[in-house]
Amino acid sequence: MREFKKLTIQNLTKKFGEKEALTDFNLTVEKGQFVTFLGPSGCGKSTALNCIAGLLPITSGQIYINEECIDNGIKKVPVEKRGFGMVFQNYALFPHLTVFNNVAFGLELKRISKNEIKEKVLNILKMVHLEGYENKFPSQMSGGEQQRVAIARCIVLEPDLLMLDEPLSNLDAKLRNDMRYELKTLHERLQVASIYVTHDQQEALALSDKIVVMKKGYIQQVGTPEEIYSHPANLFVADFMGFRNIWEAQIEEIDDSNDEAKIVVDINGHKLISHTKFTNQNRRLKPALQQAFKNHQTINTAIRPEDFLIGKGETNNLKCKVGIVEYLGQISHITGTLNNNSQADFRASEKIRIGDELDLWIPPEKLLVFPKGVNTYV
Amino acid sequence: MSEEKRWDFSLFIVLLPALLFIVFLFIYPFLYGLFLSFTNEDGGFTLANYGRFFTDNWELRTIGITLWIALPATLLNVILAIPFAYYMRHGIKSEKLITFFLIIPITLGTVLISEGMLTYMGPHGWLNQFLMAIGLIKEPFRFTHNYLGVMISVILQGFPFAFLMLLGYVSGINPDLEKAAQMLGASKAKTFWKILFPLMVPGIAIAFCLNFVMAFSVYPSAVLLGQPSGPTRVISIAAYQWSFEKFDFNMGSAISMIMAAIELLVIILVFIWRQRMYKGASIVGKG
Repeated sequence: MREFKKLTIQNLTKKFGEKEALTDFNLTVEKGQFVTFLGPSGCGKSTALNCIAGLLPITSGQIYINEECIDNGIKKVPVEKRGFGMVFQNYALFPHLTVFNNVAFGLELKRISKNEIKEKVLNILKMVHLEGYENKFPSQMSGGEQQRVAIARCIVLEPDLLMLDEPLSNLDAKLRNDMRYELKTLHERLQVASIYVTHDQQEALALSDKIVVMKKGYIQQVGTPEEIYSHPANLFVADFMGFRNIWEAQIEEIDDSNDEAKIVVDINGHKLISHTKFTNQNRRLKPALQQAFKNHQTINTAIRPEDFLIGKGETNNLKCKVGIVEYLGQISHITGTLNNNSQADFRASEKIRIGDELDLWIPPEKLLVFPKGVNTYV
Repeated sequence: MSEEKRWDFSLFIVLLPALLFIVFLFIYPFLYGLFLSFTNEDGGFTLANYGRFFTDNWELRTIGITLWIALPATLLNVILAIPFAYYMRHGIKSEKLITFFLIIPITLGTVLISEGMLTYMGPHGWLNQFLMAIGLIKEPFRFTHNYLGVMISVILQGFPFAFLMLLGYVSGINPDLEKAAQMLGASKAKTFWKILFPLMVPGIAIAFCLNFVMAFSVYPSAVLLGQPSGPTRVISIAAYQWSFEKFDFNMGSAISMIMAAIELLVIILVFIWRQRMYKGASIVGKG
């Protein structure tokens, strides 16, 4: 048996009829890495997962394990010979089999002795905290318990690559947090290469070593959780990662050095300053910004609700009339109208009432700028 | 149970039409038939009707004749329907057309099918002419007025029924279960035998029972396509003859009761098989 070192996907494209569901998908997953495909529904994340698993035929491109090609659209290693495991959104437990037989299903196909199967199954059930559940049927268990059986059924086979297709989205909020923690613990312990599909950015940030943000079949950005969170490559990623205030603006001034720029923007007649750092993640923004400045094109600015500060600052001062206050205990979510007539979403920990006039300011490094039309990340 | 079960009047009103229907059109005739079968012409209690049936070989052999048609036909229908339903479970091209052609025999009714078969498969029918033209047979083959004719008719009527029932059942099985089995290392064949087939068992059992009951009570095609005076004198013909040719309703009822008892017995056997195959909870592969 070969040893799994890495999975490489090159120029993977998948069409359903004429419609491209996945375009030019490139990715490497190394042993022990936890990679998340993140995006809204219909972005191609599940399609990508099913192609890698071999459950969907690919249209073009190549998939490699180490140096060996396992799928190039013509010749493919069948699903059952790839040595991957998958946990499904609806768990997909076999309803006519007990928990023990569900977990033993894959082992029994491998022709190993009954005693060894029993030992392995009982061990793995202990690991997912399901001792004593061997003789229950899936329908007699809660969603969280069923999900654990689904995970146990996969990892008992010690797969080279563990795939999880929105495994937590059918659970209630509290259980979802508990299971997320358990998944993280399990991954730390097993160090198995994992691909996790979700539309929830919290899950993606909490679990991943690497996040792949997708939209309409195209990869938008690949990076660590910190990179994706702090340096979104384009407006779509920024929007998806919680930059809820998106305003149109004109560039007044660009003062750029190598990897930094001070940009003055005009938002509805109000001048604000943005300090933008260019990294590997957003390097394509720089020429596009210069282009937009030269041609007087409208751009977008984006800021997170959490990044507004209440009070007066050294720059970027604004006034806000409070419209809606949602009290959430520790903090409140506030929506108000700025003195340039833009809407602003922000957070406050002090007591604020509807109709209050507030001073707000934005630290320049928190105000991001995105030229229009830069949608794909290369 | 702590909750008191109360008499719900509005529920009763809603159920009333259905209850009346069942009571007057099923329970009453059934009980009346049962009563008739245990009485003689003067209304006195007797077991003579049953005694006569089980001692008269001419009557008793109708059980064997009917089973010999109904069991193989039903088995064949259901066994053939399984692979068809399996291959069409995720939908295929021109599925609507295929389904349409399969539904036609059901909608046309037995008599029309039998009439059609008499002409088409008769000694001078197209089928025999075709088979002779290509040299497969020398003289006309007898497709009708025998056991084979009745069999063909029962299969034509029963197969679409079994297929449509099973198709509904298989397409209701969560497709992720198949994917999961493959991901765990099972080949297509293993996936079928270990996952899909066991999950189809309840559907197979029901399709078998309904098909069997239909085939066991076969009447028109046994008369039109068979030899009702001999080899295909099925049990329903016996019941008819006693009731409406000899006007002995007591004996006719007794034969009907025997017919019902045999059908019930086969259904019980099928459900025992189902119980052994499918020990899981009562959900249908919804995961």
